[in-house]
Amino acid sequence: MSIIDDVILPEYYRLIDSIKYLEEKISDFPKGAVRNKQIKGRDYIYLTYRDGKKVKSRYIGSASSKKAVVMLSQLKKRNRMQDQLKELKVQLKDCKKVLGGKV
Amino acid sequence: MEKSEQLYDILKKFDDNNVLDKVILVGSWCMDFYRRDLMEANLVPSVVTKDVDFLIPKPEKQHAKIDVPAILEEMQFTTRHDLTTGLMKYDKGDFTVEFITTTGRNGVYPFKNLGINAQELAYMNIPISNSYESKFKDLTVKIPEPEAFVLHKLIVAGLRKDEAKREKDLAAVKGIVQQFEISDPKRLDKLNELYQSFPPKWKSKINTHLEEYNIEIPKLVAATQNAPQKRKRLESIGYDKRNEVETFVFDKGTPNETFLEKDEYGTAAYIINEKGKKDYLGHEDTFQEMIKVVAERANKIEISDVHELKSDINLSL
Repeated sequence: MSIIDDVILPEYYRLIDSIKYLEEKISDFPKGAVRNKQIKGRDYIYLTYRDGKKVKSRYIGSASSKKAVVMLSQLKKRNRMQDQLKELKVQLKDCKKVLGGKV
Repeated sequence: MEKSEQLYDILKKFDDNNVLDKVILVGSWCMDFYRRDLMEANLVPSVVTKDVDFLIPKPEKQHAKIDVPAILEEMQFTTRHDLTTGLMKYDKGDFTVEFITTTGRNGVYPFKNLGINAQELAYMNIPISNSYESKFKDLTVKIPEPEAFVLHKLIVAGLRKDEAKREKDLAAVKGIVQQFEISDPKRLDKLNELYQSFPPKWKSKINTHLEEYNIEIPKLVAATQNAPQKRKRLESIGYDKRNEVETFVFDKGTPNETFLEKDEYGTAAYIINEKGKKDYLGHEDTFQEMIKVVAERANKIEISDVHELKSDINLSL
């Protein structure tokens, strides 16, 4: 077994697993972005997301409500995971290049 | 032979000769252990090197006389001398065993009792002080706590001359941190605790590298070493029954009036604008993190004040 097979191939399979794992985890989190609306001096949070071709908006609650806090925290986590997913996909692409036609 | 089997053979031989309990396995082989030991480890990279690095604590005196090169030679390793540095490495095929130790004057430290030279490297006290015993088949191997591994790699990122190695280290850091966040967030608190115990210069290096390499560690309360010493004045603490939140008002009636709302899910912050209306600053999972955000934006609250605040308002952070 060459050093490439020995080192890069396991990493290639690990990256595929990691991407699948992360995609599954991401799907558990809400997608979209929050919008802040001020009505009579109070802040209200709306979740804006894409559903097919339509952009939809869903009321979450007052900015200080538990729902809003949880939503914001989850969106933040989702964004971080998406960043990581992008990086893993770049790494996978690099691995594929090194492995050539072996995979 | 599988890579990990080759490592096992070395570790086993070290164990049989009473060497294993004197060393800490460092470097990317730790990934192999983390992948086994962490609750979930899908995002922890696999080993992509065949260098095996052993960290040996100083002083030399504590180690009994053991001929380590002879043990390695028995396993068909050949000794390679670097004449310029005096460092010795041990090769077998594409496997290389190296020894490292804490920083010193000469760059290389002779462990005469063990018959080896170890490369002196900075910040190796971090893994020495923060290691745990991991199981590998029938062996007990000391390796750095993953939190220590992350922070150590972040500190030394700037010292790495080999860009590929640095990228590999940082990919490991990102993977471990992301894994903590997904499957074991308590480890992020532990990571923050360890970070807080570091000297300001180390924290500053970590902060710089986090920013430079665009890495985000949730729950890490970054130290603002050179922040102004001013602090906001806590005016009142209340409880908003309707929204079930604790409220904290700072600098009431001034242009810097800041308002924090805390509940069991986290803390939201607002700055009162010129029209007397609340401008939403954001929210964080913990009160401490929110204080950090407010400190950065309003440039008023010192992070160290979090502890003062805690005693001032008797609030459990």
